[in-house]
Amino acid sequence: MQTPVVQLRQSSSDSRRRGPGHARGGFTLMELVMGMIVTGLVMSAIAGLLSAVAMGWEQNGRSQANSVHRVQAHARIQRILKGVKQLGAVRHGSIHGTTTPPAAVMIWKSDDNGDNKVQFSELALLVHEGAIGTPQAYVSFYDVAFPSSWSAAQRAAYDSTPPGLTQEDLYKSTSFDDFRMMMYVRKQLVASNVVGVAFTRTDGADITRPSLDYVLKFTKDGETHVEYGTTAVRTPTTLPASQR
Amino acid sequence: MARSTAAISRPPARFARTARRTRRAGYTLAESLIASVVLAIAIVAISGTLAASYQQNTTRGNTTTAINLAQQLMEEIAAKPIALPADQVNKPGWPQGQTDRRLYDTVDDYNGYADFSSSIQAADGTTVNLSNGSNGSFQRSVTVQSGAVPAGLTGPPADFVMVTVTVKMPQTEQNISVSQLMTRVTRLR
Repeated sequence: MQTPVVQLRQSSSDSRRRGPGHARGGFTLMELVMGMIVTGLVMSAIAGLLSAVAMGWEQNGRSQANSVHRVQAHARIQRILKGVKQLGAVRHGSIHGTTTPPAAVMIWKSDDNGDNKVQFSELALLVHEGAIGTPQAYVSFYDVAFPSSWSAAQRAAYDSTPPGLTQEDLYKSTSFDDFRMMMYVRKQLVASNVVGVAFTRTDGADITRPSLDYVLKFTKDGETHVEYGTTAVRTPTTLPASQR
Repeated sequence: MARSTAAISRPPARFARTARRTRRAGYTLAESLIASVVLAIAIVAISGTLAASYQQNTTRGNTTTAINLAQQLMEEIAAKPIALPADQVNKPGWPQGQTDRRLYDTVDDYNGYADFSSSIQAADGTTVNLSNGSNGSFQRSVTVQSGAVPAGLTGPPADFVMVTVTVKMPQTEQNISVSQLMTRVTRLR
């Protein structure tokens, strides 16, 4: 019985005996360099392809996200406007965001107490604000939210005392700024990256359903898109005599 | 004689040595061609997938735009009454040759109306391009079907109108259709 040490020595001496006659074939330096160059070329071609695929993928994702962003803006505006009672004063604005003051519309949101009169807490405002004309601009929705701890009587009392706006104030262009500054008025974001907005109201004595046309220009991630929508108010109240 | 034949058929020893030295293992033409074909098939397969993905994304974007365009027109039509009060004069619509939508005052004025997304007139009179980067323009068209009383309902046929807005998408020529039943509404005065 041989020990492992002896076996190792024998094997080593065998390989020495085979000598140069049994030399194993290897690459020459030239072959190695050529192989590396070809491999490099193939790798860079594959890298280029993968990079193009990755860029396309990223672009797809961005484009899809932007599309969802715009669809959400449509949906929010439609949801806000369809159920309102009246469309009040409108400031047209401009699609390129070059006109100041920017687009805005006063809204009689709902007749919560059913008295067929406009109370402060029933008002709302849709307005384009921020750095108008740049992607940092946005559309906001303002409405009134009293403290949840308030009783119905407290709410009614606040509605009936100054600085509550009245029916006629719904149609005044000064209400845009006045309303935003009032206490208990809260702000919600409707759409961001909106460079320009144009609002056009269609209403009058002969109109069955008032409607608001809106054109929004979005700029996001280097892409610019124009969106156009219309919302018809489903259950409008009677226009006051002064507005017919 | 036999010796001379053997000399002809067997190459000299030094030539044989040279041939052995210069002969190197490589791919045959057939092997190279097969490899090229396999590589080409792989590239075509990958390209096909990428192209399909790109096409799908374009179609999805176009469908979203088409639905928005249809919805805009549908809302605009929904704002109009089916019929005017007796004391008002019905203005001409598309069937009578009026192309300015701002002058339409009833739903049936839109019957047959058609426009292109590259030049849509907004309510303020400006023209907007809503093609949104698509390679082509979306075409909108409207049909208004009067007396469309739904099955199971009774009532004056004149109180029901079925409006269908169809948007033809560019490139694929696919259509998106949105239909809505409109009924007579009255605003309290």
